Amino acid sequence: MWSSMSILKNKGNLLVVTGGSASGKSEYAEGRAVSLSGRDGGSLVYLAAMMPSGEDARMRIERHQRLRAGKGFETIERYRDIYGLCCGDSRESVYFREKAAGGTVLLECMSNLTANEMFAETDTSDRIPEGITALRELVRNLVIVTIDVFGDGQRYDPETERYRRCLGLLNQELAAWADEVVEVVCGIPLIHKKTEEEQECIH
Amino acid sequence: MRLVIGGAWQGKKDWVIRHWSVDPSAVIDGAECDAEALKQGAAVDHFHLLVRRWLDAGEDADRKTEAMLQENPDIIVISDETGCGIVPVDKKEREYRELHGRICCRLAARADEVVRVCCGIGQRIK
Repeated sequence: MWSSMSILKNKGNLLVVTGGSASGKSEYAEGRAVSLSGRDGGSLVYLAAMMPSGEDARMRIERHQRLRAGKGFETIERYRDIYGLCCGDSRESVYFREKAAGGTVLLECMSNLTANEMFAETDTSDRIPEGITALRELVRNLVIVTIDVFGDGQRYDPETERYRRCLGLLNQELAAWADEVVEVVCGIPLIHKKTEEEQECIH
Repeated sequence: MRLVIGGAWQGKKDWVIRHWSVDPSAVIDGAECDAEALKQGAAVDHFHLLVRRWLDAGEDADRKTEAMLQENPDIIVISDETGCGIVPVDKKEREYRELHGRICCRLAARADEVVRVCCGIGQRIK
């Protein structure tokens, strides 16, 4: 039922996973991506948006690499311009299309992608939605990890607040598109949205 | 062991006292309790501050948590959620949030029951 609808829509199934720092959201998202890929076949790609700059980022990346090890992901790094990756003519784009077409892609994390687009020489964050749309049209299953940076009651400087606003609006847009939205709390998934097709598919 | 989490000032402790009939005097405060109280308390409130104290004292917080569960296996752990903000610039603050978040994931995995309290309303999530 769902697969025929998916072909009609010509859009991959979209699962959005959110949660705070150190909430277990990455591990949950990986598990879901692995099982979606197992269900539907095709490739399993980890699209990494975090730039390996600074000791802290490197440690986080290494931790994530350990978590993913042995799960069958091919890692492709892309820090910005997802649209270009999906639709461009570069060797990187051609390779990515070959790999990701019809498969399962886990994009982690919207926080990095948003920061990389916003704080580039020119702010290109308004191009993120078309990138996500292009990615979704390419794949069978898209799992996007984002983060909840909205609940600590702190007041931030205007630049950080602009970033939080941008990420918050993107999260709303992604959730509106998504077939399923899950918040992970202390490693426990809380389902906020699940479409009927998706429910049929799981049962 | 049971885990109760949520944002600050959401009524987590009151929820525990009311719904699980816990004697308020048996709820110890993670901000100041000593090791002996931790063995005997029915519940430890402000568990995140206890993790912070362990971190600041240079103690192994994972091991301290494990010891707490060994010595007081039925304890109710009440903790703020600390991960829902911008990642702090300060290294120690980042370390604290990471440590506390991972400990809470492990506590939740082992807990018999996990409740998340928002605006005084408890939602049983495990």
